[in-house]
Amino acid sequence: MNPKVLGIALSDISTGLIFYPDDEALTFPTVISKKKSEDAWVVGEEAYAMALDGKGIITDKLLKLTRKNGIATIDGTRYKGRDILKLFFKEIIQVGMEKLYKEKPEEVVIAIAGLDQNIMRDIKEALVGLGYQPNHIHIISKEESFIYFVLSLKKDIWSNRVGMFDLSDVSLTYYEMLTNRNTRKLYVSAESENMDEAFNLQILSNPSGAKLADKILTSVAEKVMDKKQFSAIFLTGQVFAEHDWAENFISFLCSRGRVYLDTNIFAKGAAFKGVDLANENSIYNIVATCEGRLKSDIYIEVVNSGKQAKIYLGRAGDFWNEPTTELLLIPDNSEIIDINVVSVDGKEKKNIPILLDFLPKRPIKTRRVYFKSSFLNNKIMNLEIADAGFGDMYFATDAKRNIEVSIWD
Amino acid sequence: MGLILCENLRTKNSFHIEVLSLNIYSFEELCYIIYENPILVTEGIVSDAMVDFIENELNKNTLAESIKRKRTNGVDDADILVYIIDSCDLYNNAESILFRNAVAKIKKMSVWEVGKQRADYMFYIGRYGTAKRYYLEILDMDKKSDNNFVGSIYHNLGVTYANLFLYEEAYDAFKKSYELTNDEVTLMELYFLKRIFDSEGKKKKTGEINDSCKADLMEEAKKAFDMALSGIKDSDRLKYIEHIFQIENREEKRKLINEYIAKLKSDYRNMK
Repeated sequence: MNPKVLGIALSDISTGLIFYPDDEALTFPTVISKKKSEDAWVVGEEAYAMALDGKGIITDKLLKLTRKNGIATIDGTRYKGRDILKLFFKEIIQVGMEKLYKEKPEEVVIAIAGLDQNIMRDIKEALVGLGYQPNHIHIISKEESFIYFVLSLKKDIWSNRVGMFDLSDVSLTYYEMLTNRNTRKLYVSAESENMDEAFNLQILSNPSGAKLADKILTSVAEKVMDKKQFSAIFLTGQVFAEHDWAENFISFLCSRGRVYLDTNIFAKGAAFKGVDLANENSIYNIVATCEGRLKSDIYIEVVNSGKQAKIYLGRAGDFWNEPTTELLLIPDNSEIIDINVVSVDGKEKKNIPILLDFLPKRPIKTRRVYFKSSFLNNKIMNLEIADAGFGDMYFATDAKRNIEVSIWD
Repeated sequence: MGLILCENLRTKNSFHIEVLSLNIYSFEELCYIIYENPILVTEGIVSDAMVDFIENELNKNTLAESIKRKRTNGVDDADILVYIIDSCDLYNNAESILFRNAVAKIKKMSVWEVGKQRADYMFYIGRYGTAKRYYLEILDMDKKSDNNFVGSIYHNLGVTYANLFLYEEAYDAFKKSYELTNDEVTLMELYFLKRIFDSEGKKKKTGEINDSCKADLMEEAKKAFDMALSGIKDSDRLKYIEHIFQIENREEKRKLINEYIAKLKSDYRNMK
């Protein structure tokens, strides 16, 4: 039986919704409007219409507002960014459920660009506030949703490199994905690059502007795709629903691989991710390295049960917001803890020594430390090392150090 | 050896080592104490309580079962301690061998040598009362070693009495030690006692010591005593006490004084 999954692609411009297994997508401009003197809210185009009629007060750029802990004063009431985001989620889900089906989803997956702990916490809290269980709310990067979207298609589409252009009013982003199968798992990496050449979509309203836009995109494609060959190239963004204006650009892309158009790739990818999570055993069984995921194995070597063993603080493909390792260690006669970093392909290795010179001087076997690791993002690890004492023989002191470690420079 | 991974568990009940007045909360602490104090084997550390701690608090069922089996089969306590040290990650092979040798050495000792070792150990950890009892037990044994050995027992007993402020008893012990060994070091210690007796006005004892000591030895002992006295004035302990009394913050001063007195009381209680 198909799980009920809600996939959301959230950005400051538009928000896409997919209620899997339904494949119909809904897209809303990411705006919300409060009806004047009423406790009622509307979203998307309706919000614009209400504001134009002077019956509502519009709020836009909801992600940005939430990220900067902003406050919006609407109808004399101050709303925090995350409260507005919660209202927005409530309304779009309500609209979606009315239009598509009326069952509450089992999993909710939201894809956004620019993951950080605060925005992830705020989005999660907003959805928890709407009655969703925290362990059924997942926030992933757009790169990851791109991976899941592509992998849900036939294998010949992702047999080689896959490219994608995401064009919106404020941004042009190029995505690239590669797969690499070893004996057991499929390793998938995805990267994205925000292009400086983004342009205002209003230029498409006249022929010379459209021609310029086509030229810009072709030039960008030539630059980023270089001489590489692709098994597929995707175009996404509402603007590509009509693509006559991009004749040269699409022609160039066709010379590099098959070109596909889908205006809701991120929402669909998020939904496929949710389907994978809802299954007891992963359908895709992949190790994904992309924004939000660690790109390396990070470990320390310890003596355990008489043997040298590796303790992984994080593995390539792990979500960086999840792994937190807490250990008690005795460094014995060593004055450092070595953090080892190995890239996913095993080709790059790095050793990061952490000095323990802040620990109190006492017999080496009694220098027991509390060691906690977590990740601030996929490049920076936070280590907390504190004197744990040694029973009644040596009480724990205040000696403690918080260290931010760059996994890769 | 590198990073040693410790078990991250909180024991509900500690294992109390009576002789050290110490509570143990983890396997690493237990192994450390055993390794640093192999003579504990003579103090009954291998016990039902220890096995119970390993089994129920440290959740090391396999190890506990092995120890139980060994005990049932009559394996020596010393070998059980070696087995425990071998089972822990705290010590590498070389360190483990050192411990094995230390235990083997204890096993080879005669009963009174073991007795002296444990008494010396009690003295070393400041348990003077227990040390005194152990020294007296050796002296009560039927079969004793040579004069030098018995003399060394009396000597250590004298030092123990002195640390318990029992100077009369210390004097008797040192005197017997000197009679058995003729060791001039003991004479110097008698001189030290003389200086204490002088201050207490015990002329008779002072006279006896004067009769026993040669003039040059007396001179050397005087220098050593005076040096020890001036050493006390420069000692870290005295400096620390002076430092406490120079602190202006009354609360801080009171806190440190209370801590220091608590430490003195604890040391005094441990002397028993």
